[in-house]
Amino acid sequence: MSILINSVIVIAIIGGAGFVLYRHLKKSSQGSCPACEYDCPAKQQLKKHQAEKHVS
Amino acid sequence: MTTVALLGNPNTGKTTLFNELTDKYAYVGNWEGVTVDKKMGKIRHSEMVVVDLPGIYSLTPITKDEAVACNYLLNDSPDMILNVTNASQLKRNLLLSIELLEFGRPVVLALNMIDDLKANGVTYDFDELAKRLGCQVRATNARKKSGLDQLRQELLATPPETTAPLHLAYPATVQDAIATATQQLVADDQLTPTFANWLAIQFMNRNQIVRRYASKHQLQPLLTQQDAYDKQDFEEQIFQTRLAFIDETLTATTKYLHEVSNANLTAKIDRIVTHPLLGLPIFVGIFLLMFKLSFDWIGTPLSDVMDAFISGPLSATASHFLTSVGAMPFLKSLIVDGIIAGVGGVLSFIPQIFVLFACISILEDSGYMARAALVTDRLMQLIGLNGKAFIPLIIGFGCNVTGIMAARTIEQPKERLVTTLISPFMSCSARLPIYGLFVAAFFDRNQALIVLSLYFLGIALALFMAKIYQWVFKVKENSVFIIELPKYHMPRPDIIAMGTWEKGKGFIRKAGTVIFGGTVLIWLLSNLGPAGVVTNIDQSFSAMIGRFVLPAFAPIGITSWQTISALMTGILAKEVISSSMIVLFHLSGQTGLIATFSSLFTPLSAYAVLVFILIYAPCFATLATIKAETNSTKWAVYSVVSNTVIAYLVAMIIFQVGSLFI
Repeated sequence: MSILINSVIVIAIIGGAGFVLYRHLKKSSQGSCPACEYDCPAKQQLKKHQAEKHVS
Repeated sequence: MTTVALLGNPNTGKTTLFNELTDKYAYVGNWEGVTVDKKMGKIRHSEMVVVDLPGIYSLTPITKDEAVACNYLLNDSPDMILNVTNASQLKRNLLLSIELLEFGRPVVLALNMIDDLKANGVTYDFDELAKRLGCQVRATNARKKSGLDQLRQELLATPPETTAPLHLAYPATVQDAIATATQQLVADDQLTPTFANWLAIQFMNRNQIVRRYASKHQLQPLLTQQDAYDKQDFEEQIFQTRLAFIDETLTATTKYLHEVSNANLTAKIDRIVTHPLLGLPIFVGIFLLMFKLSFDWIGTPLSDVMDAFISGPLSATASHFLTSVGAMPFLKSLIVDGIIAGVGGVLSFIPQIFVLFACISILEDSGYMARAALVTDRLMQLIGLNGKAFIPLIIGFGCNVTGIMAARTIEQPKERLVTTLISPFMSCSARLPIYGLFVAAFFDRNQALIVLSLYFLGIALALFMAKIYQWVFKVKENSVFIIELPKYHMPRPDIIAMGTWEKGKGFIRKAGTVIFGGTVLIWLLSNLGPAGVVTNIDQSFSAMIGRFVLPAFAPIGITSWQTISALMTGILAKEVISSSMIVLFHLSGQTGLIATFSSLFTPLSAYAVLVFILIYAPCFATLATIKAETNSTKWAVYSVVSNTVIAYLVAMIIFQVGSLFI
């Protein structure tokens, strides 16, 4: 495996990790619960509340 | 498209009925406050949409979630209403039914849990009941799926047109006031007579949502008379009329099947389970049993098998494959020592977590959870909270975020704030992997007992802090705690399986997201330093950060910088602490980590670290939720600071005092 391919894979993994962390922090800041990603009623209500706040 | 609003008292089996009627699965819990917002689903093979609304006792809202139902009727105006009632508690359930029947939309009344009623030797004359209420009446048992086809057919066959509302014989003064207000609302505000009539009754009944609606729409016929209605206490007169109507209706329609000679099983069990003295020890015992199953009997043995596979064949095969294809050591280390070891190390705790969630699902479905709230109510009252706060707290055992959101069922703002602030003390499931690592290393024979002690330490601390907050915030008023005690029943395997999966699947997904991201991040920090790529981890960024803070943690027994760096990653998610430790100690899985722990900790310092992990700064998602629920960044920052200080102090006391004896 060439150095180039090695480097591409390393960058892809690190880039992917960076992306999921960014998405995690973004979702978390919206009150999304990553321990339970299932869209439970409590979360739906929170999203609605935030949407209403945003609109107002 | 026809819309059916699903309304009823809490714990009448509404959500179970919703799941059976529609093609959407909604989380089924057996205590008040589970359905916090409306859920929608289509009736199979039709265009009829069912909207599941939070369980309420009346349309006059006390809590935020109760307001959802009233607002829905006011603003969305459903075509039909499916009113689900507990057939055994019809007297209380009909109070809401009357308000819905007065709304003037076709109502189908489902007498759910009919088997429980019949078991008590009672049934109803359904035709007579339907005639007196002016609606369709159907007997169902959602759990056993009986009567559901008929109910579905009934709904599909009922024309979604406005029907004559139920008219009760309110006292003459009330009746006259309703008639006058209705006439004026129709004439001045162009409302339909049915809606105006309902609005007037609700307004007189001091429904705050309706009163706000009247103010918003400037409904002068109501607003100008508000004081007069209140002075004459129309609310009480309306209530008494409804109660008399219900008594009369039930007397006329109740049929006795046979004499009931034996007290029913539920009453017998409750005499023990909710006993003032025995209730709490039983509650503790049930939790201990749960942890025994999770950590000692089922979860850990399965977890060991998974760990052996991940750290053994999987890791070796991946390493061999990467070598054979010519991967550079850097890439090989990232995949094998970072991703497989770190993420795999956390994934090996899946059995423990799923066993625990299955136990919680069984407790929910059996009807015990409602009793647990009742039992804890006595304890909560001592510190000024009530059992209602227990529900968000116990939901917090699964995830603090959901627990904090559930606190909105508490109507008093200060009491809600107190519950929000103490929720992070509840030991969420994300902390289980790190508990698992430490208890396996230091408390092999008492794993369940140690984890139980952490859970109860969290509860004790939450109650202690609640008492302090009550005093600081000068909380005087308390919320009213009413909880329906459902009958005990055998948990249904499909509900248990679904509940366990719904609770646990987030953990698996998380392995592919934040645990993966956190593991790669800590691997990078442990392989990079100021001079670039480092071969000695002691020269890495993670070592620099950890060493900088390490002296401050000596009083709680932490002597390794790796532990400090791992704890810092816990802000991303608590599971990341375990994967970070595996990566930072350069191990292949939890077995290796457990061996390394013995040279870094004593049982006492290990327990102090566990206590610190239990209490210190909540994860990012929890902080964001605290901010959203309190509408203030101040409280989120306060949580980070206060929890970390408290964690430090409690862990230090345990370690320092313990060192005097051990």
